[in-house]
Amino acid sequence: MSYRFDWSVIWTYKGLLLSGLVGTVEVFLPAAALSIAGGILIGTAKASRLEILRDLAGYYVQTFRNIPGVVILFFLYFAYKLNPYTAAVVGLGIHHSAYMAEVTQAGIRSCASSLRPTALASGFTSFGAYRYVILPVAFRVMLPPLATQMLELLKNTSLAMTISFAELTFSVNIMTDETFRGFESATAGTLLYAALALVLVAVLNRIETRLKVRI
Amino acid sequence: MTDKVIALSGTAGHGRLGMAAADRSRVMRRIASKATSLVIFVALLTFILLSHTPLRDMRWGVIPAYHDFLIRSLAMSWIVTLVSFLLSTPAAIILAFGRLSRHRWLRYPSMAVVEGVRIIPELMIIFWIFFTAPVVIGQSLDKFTSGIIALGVINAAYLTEAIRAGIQSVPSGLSLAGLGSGLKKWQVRLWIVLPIALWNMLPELRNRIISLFKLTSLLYLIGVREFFGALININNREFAPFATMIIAGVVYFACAYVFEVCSRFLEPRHTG
Repeated sequence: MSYRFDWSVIWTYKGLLLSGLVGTVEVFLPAAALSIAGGILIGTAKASRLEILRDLAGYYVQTFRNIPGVVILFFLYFAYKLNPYTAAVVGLGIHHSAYMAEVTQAGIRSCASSLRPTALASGFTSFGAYRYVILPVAFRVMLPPLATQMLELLKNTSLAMTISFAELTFSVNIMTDETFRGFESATAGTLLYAALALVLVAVLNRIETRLKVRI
Repeated sequence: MTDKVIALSGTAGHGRLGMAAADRSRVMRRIASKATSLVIFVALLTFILLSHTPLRDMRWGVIPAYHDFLIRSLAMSWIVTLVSFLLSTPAAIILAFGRLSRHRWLRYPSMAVVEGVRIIPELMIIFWIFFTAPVVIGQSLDKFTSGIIALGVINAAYLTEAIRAGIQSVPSGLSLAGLGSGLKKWQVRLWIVLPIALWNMLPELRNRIISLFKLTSLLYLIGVREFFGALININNREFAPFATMIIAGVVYFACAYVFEVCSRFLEPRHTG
């Protein structure tokens, strides 16, 4: 192994790395909101008692789970000519809403059969039972798998670099191209992703403890 | 009330014909609903696509013009998928036993490897292998090899978790029985625990292969001639984003779907 490490490049390129980090967060937050909102909508349809809604949602999930995220991003960017940022947010939102729909559906299924009759009997309307009784409970049930999905989404924000949006992987790539220090730049990128993931896990854990119902 | 119960049990017990008719009407209703919603779904997708660009402007001509190239690159995608899957499965098995080991010096390193790979984006791992391995090892790997290694590393990490769950699902009585009948520890693991674990997780293995197949689409970045890379090539040359990207979506979906249906058909039925 004749390779000589030079870790100073990380310090030299700290501005680029930080702007990449900011880019990643900028894609992640709206895409997460979009995928959770879409996932709850479609997951609810998938857990509904209307057969046709269930099937429609099933087709949506099946379709977008089986298409690679990068294809959706390329389609939005090249065919629909969205700008890179919008394409990344919308594409990742669509891709992950399919996974979130599965999570939501499982959450609703796990509690609806016992809660729904109770809520209806105590005078809730069908929508009220869903909105005020089933959904709050289901949301708590689905928090752990939701956290997994959010970590997946955080990792998949790196797909945005394929349509030339400047996020963290993009910065690492530029750094490698300019310095030929692939090992060092990849290490820096990896550590930053790990840090982001740890922050995300901490935030989600906090939400989980906050929402926990104390009896 | 009692009459009703008797009547119901009557239909269940004797009137097989009545039950069959009810069954058939339910199946028919399922099919009708599935078909209707499929039509609605496809119509919606088509509407969304066509409302942006009319069909004749999508340049569908490029697909037949390059069909040979496309088929070869699709075969390449599957080759990469299967080779990296086959190569990484033994590694995943070893890592899974490592994660479950009693010894800390085995458990912690394998945990570090698995969690380390799982926490970084797949794209970063592909770059790691392609750009940094040559620098560290001292020689450059060709695109195909580094693509397979990258996917293999990713698959090994994710599969380890699945195999670990599979191993833990094997009743401990079985390994105790194996030990009791005089087998050594590694023999129990290899010949009793592992086969049952793998058998139990066949659906999970199928899911891993499908997601690995979808992951091959990222290898175009390091220049592997796989399906998505071929379509990007065509798009760069002919500028036909609608035709190429719609075909990409359709083909990836169709491959994953057909693979899933076929392997489901081959899998043993889990009853009870």
